Amino acid sequence: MDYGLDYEGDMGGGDYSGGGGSRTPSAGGSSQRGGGGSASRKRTSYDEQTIRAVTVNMMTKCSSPQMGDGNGLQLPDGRSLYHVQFVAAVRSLEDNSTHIMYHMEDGTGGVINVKQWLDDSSECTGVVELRRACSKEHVYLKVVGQLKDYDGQKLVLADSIRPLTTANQITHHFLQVVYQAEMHKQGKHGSGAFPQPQSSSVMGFSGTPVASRGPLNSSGDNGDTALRREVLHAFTQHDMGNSINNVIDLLTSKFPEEAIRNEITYLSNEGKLYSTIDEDHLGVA
Amino acid sequence: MAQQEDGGYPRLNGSMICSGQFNNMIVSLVGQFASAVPTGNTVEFVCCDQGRATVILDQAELPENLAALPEMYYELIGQVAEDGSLVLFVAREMSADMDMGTYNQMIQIQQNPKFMQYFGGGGGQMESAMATN
Repeated sequence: MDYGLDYEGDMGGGDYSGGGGSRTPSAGGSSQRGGGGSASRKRTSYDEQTIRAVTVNMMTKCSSPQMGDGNGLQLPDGRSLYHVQFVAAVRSLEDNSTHIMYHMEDGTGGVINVKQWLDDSSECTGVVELRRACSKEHVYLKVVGQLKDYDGQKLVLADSIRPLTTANQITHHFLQVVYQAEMHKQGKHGSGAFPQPQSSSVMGFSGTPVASRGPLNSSGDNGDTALRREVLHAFTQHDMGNSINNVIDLLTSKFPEEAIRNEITYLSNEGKLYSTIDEDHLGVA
Repeated sequence: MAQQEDGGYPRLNGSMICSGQFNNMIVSLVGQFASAVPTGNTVEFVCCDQGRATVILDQAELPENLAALPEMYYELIGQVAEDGSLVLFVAREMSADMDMGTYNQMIQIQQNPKFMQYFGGGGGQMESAMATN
């Protein structure tokens, strides 16, 4: 079954050593790890390539699709759930010959099942030891995987399961859940499509490193927001996006060329712009 | 009192557990044991806001390596008794470097009704306005 993924679990560092593989019995031969760079492979939406920090409550309560294929899960705020990451404690586990099934909770409500496939033939000692460290009750683990729905029952197919290096990861994760959700809300209701992180936020952190926050603009508080809006608007002129040079020509009367190029680079890195017919033509995600 | 959802338990600090709003509920407390040696079947527990709670050891024992690692932080899952003490069910080892200040702030955010959609009832946000302790 083609899940429409460009890659199988190669995200956040590609932590296959602890994940034990992401193949599922129903995937057949199409979901091969690192599946080739075929030019005919269809581009997946950025939603499917986004890992969302969630709680067990969010996963168990997200809305299920009408079909039973496990795709299209959605949070109440409209965000799609494909790849998830969460921190939870092992309540119990079942060690089978082909997989390990964890039953995990984080106190937010509900118990989530997490399936980790085993591949003893290709696993090294380190992987085995890591799995042994995770296979204990009442230990907190960080899980990254794909959320699936099978007949109303939620299941996470784990790509990576690791014990925490510090319990501060629990605090960080819950704050990250709130942060991502609030940023999404601001993006829907704020004045700009991409609001700037507030330096005086309640939580006292902005979530993005300074280097990747986008170009600084000396023209005032709203300068880069206006630039961003203009850049994005310029790339929506045509169905196949617009060329970078065209956009620069359009906006160079209002903003410096370097600022425009920096903004385009930033938006591309953030996944807001993607290449369409060639590398010089970008569209808005 | 509404029945708690399976897997749902509010995370509390010392002042929350003494408030009486979580009596008879299953809750989580994070902190350190004040002593590795119980007094009878109880032991003092220092919560994340430096408040103290009494932990009753009728249902579970102290962690095995508590004496060897006195600086370790633990998460206690148990039921709050009428007097505000906690009947211990499970003790989960955290880490020795856990930041209690940040954790205390985080659980207050969890208690905020505005964020209930992410953290569920958890067995119960406080009904009054967000705790400002």
